[in-house]
Amino acid sequence: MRFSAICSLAPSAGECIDLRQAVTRPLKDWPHGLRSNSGSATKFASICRASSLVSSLAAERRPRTTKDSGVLVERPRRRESLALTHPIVYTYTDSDIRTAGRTMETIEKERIEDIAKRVATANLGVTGISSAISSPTIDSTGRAALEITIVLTPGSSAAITGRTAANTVLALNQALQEAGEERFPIVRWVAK
Amino acid sequence: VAIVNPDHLFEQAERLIAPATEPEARQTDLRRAVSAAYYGVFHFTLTAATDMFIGTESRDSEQYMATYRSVKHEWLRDLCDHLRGLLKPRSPPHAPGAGFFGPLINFATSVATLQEKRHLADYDPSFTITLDEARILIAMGREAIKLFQDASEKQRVAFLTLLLFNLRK
Repeated sequence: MRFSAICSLAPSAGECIDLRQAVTRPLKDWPHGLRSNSGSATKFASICRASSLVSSLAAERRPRTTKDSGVLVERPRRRESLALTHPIVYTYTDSDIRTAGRTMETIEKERIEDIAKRVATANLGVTGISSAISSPTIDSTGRAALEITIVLTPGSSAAITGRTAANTVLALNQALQEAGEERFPIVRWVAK
Repeated sequence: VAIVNPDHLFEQAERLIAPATEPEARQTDLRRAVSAAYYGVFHFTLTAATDMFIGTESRDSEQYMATYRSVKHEWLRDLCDHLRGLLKPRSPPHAPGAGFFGPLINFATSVATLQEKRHLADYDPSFTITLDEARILIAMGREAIKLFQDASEKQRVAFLTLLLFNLRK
């Protein structure tokens, strides 16, 4: 099961989100399709119920204070619910993805990999690059991103300097943006 | 006050990936190396920004410390993403284009990459990395500092000002 963060863009169909994230993510940051698509209304309602449950449980975990004779006194916390120790899973469907109201432009996997291989070869030399593989991911800020693995031929990684690596990542950024791909490419370097 | 020396962080990272007695480098060491490489660039940038606004002669002052500590990783990332966005074929006409920031566009792209890797290395239990990749990332960190230094004073002042005063979204 692949979990994704709740973010402004829905990840791929079949990926899951753990609704406990709703405790820290405001509703406005949820995938658009899950709150605006009437076809997903039933699912969305169940998510809301689950998230409000989670939120109320989380609220009980926070220290509470009451003003008593001008003095702030911490009220005893209620026993934590076991619900918070288990993921509350929602799996994205094709329908969610189609109606997710994407604002970020993307292009197909084959084209991304073709661009990545071409850019890497241009910057690192034709003998060093075996292939390029891309897959969707979520970056540390919760936004849709791309993981691009540059597969190097054995022994060729030693020739990659900081300058060539930086230039390759920059050129890849630029080439993808020019092709209409706005997700941030997080480059991995693997020798096989 | 002893300001964090970025070179020491890069050297620490290189020591962590140096050949050891184990047949394979430990993931713990490789993760720490990636983290140190990012922090090398992060502290370099913060020092440059605070030196510019508060002054190197005031490094012992409370104002220096407060300014240094005020910058969040998110601010640096937002700014780097903003600069990377200037690579788009259609940038907002009122914003300085990629040409204005010159080598800082490359710097910003490297910083964003290193920050992502640092996040994975520090927090993602499933993250694994090879020795080769760790070495490349450390080299990228060192290169990022050179790229920053290659920028003109006007470019650096613009970047550091936007960093300290938090880019408005």
